[in-house]
Amino acid sequence: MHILLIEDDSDLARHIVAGMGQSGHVVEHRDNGRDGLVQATCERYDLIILDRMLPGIDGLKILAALRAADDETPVLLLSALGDVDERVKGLRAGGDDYLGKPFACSELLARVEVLGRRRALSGDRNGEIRIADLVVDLAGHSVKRGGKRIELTLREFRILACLVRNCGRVVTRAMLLEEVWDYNFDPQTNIIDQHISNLRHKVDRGHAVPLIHTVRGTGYVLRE
Amino acid sequence: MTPGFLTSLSFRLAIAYAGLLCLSMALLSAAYYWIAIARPLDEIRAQVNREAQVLAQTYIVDGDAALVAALEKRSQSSGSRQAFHAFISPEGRRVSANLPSWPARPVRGWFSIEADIYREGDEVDFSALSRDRIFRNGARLIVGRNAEEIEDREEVLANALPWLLGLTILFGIAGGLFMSRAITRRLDTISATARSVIAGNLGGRVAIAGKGDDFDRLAGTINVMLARNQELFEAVRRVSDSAAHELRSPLARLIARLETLEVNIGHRPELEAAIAEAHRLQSIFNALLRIARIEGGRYDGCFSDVDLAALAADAVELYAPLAAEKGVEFLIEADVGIATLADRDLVFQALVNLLDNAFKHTPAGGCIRVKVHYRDDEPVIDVIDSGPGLQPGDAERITERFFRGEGTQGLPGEGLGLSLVAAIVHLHGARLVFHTLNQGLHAQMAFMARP
Repeated sequence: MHILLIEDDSDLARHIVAGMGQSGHVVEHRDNGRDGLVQATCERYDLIILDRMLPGIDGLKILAALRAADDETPVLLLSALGDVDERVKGLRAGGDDYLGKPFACSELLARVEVLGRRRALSGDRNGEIRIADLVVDLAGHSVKRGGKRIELTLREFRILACLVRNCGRVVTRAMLLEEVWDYNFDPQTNIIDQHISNLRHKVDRGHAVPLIHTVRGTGYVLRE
Repeated sequence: MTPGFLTSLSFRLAIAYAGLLCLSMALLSAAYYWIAIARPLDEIRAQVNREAQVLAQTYIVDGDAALVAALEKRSQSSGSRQAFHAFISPEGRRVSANLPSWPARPVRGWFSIEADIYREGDEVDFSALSRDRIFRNGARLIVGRNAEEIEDREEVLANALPWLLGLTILFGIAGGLFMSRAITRRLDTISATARSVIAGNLGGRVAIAGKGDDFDRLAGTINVMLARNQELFEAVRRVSDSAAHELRSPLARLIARLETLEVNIGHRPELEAAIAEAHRLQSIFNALLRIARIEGGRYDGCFSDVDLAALAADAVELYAPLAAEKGVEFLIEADVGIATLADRDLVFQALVNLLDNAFKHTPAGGCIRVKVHYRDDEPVIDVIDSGPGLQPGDAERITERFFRGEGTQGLPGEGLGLSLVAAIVHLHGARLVFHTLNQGLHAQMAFMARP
């Protein structure tokens, strides 16, 4: 993926560039708002990682300028203002995702991959998705595995749908919470693990090949 | 009127004020009586006594004619007070008199006789303060002098005194009440401010009436004290807030370096533990900053109509798998349509924290109940667990940052969850109450009734 990073903290930027590079992404870095905006309008990127607080110009203003020019490049906002209200503000301003500092690199990577893929998949978001012998009908809210229907609660279905849509990519616990629950909140414990455990029980039990995998320290992935 | 009214300073002041007013009125009346009535009357009596003595001597020594002449002369003299007399012979015949009438029988001591005189077509009122003298031969002499205006004064005073007394008491009580009301009002302003500061409004100040009086000076002193306290309190809070904020960036870099190291040298248990510890620090800082933002009013939330029953159902659904895994009975009783004006993300967070607390302390086989209902128009969310409850004295401290009650050793958590709940509840103008039950803890969030 071709990524533009606009971030003034040089240490953090170096770390992000290195981390993304290891996963095979090409990252260009600008350390101030004006250069960043110029670069973003000159070239096409798969994704822009944008710090909210930049010297010279506010990250949200860059975002507004991009969206005003009908540039729909996915934007992931980074901010030291990590609280829920700031997150809501960032998403309302046209951001596609929002990550509070400090963050684990794995969390950023997972979000970057999901965001980059979202555009490619946006065509068949409501269709039927097949992964091995699992068939998920996103529109019809039905799940079958090996031809047998699986009964899921609405919440379990939404978790599975999120995993299925991002098949092969890591989905972090925080991403699942944001996607599946309609509240912006900070769970005190890994409460989501129990839900995954129930889902896994229904989807994987009795099948030789498990589909839902745990990625240690990060989240979950659904793959063959 | 408050129950303590009779013992209040203002009531005692009112009574003292009325009492003093009555006393000074009584003193004033007594002084007036003494100066304007008692003393002039005494002077007249002394004068009449002297004259009667001289006249009696004249009669005894020089006889009838001399007395009549002396009496005529006396009545003609233009003294300051009109002189009156009547001389009756031993046979009861009137010899000389300028009194229109007198008592038929002699009277002991002093008496007053009406002695109105027509002079130049005008009636002039006189009242003769007189005394009788009976001579050995049976002759009778009445001598007196006018005391009309003094007697009038006495009468006026006697008539006025009940009114004066009544009005004095009335004004005394009214004035006392007015005074005590004024004092009470000023004191109430001060104690209302103190209560609001106690309730957490550190910016509360006593309103100054601008009269420059003692109360204004007291209010000024109290305000200076409150400002100083607020300064100190905020300095402490700023230090802890900025410590958390300033430590975040180095912590972020630390985590980044550790992660790079992990990528370079692979998984090592020590490294993993270090990363986990760094993440724990990060979550503590985040929680502290979040509480500080909400408490400091810097949280830019979005208040809207929130269906608390639906919100509670979502929270219960979130925790249902954990309840099943722990073997805890988990129930919800929610009335339909319990709504309040709130920030739904924050209220959900508060409920999640309360549930988290309940699950931490409820043993397997226990029971956790969530109730959403109206209590006296107030929307209320109850979280009732069957854990060990609180130790006595913990209820006040449970929402303090980093406070962890007895029996929480070994349980996960930093003692910040309930502080966040308290901050959220406070932001909503709601109340958070903890009751220890026979078996368990009852946490209650009571929101404001919608107008």
